[in-house]
Amino acid sequence: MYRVSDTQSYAFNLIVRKYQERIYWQIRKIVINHDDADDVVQNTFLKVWGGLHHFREDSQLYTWLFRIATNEALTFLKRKKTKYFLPLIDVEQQLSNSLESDPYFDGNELQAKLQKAIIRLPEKQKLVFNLKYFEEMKYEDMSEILGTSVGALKASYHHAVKKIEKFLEED
Amino acid sequence: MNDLETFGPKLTKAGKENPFKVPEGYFDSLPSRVQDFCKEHSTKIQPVRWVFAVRTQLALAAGFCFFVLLAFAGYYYSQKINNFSSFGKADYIKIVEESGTEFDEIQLYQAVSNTHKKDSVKNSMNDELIEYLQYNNFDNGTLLEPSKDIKP
Repeated sequence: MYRVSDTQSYAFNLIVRKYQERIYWQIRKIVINHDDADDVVQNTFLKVWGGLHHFREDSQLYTWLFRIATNEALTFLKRKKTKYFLPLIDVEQQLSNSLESDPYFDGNELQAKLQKAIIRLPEKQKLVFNLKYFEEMKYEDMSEILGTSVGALKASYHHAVKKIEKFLEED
Repeated sequence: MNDLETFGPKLTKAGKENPFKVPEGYFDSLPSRVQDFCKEHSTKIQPVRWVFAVRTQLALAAGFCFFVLLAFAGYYYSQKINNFSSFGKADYIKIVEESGTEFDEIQLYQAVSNTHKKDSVKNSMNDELIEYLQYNNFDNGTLLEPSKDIKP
């Protein structure tokens, strides 16, 4: 990767075009709301822009981008909690309530219920479930991205599925 | 997925289709908006970064200087106390010379005469002993030396 400043912008532009959709959807699944996801995406790429010269190239580029995006999304939710002096559970409740009235949500009733179940999951299980269920990522790739062992990831996914199934069975 | 169908039939029914959507043309305009956003904020970030980078070193340097000052102050004051407490013979004589007028003449005389009295007591006891030994015809070799102190 070129690090000369005039080509850095060009390289950065390429990175944005290549990974923008994957990064966006990863963030959107955490923060749910489109406008919030848009803010977080821009902050994520701002950090990427500022940290490009620190990138050690000892991991995959997408892994690095993914970690920044995930941290930014989770930090956004925590800031939302402290900004309005809300416990996290109320933030999750807000996200659930906003889902059905969201103009950028196009799912049916069961899909809405699934998303509400995912919102209620702990952070790690939420990430693992989204990567495994929707993106069908391999556990080995997930291990590299999340920095967790394959066994722990399988356990997280198993627990996530159990919780979601239980929630879906409720009326 | 077989394990999913085993563990989550309702989940399987929900499907894997993405229920979220984005405004039309969102991803087409996103790169240019991101570039503008980065250019706008990167100039603001730079001075903060520089200060942030230096702040840690400045704090360490300030802490080091503080401990050096503390050590120096402790050494300086401990030296001062030591100098004050170590009196030499010359210091005592000087003190007496300077403050001798504070003492009464009688007090001075008594201090001196008490010493003489002690010496004379010793001497008289030695003399008596020698006289006794001579009276009883003891050999000179058995005489006690007058210089030896005989305690009463």
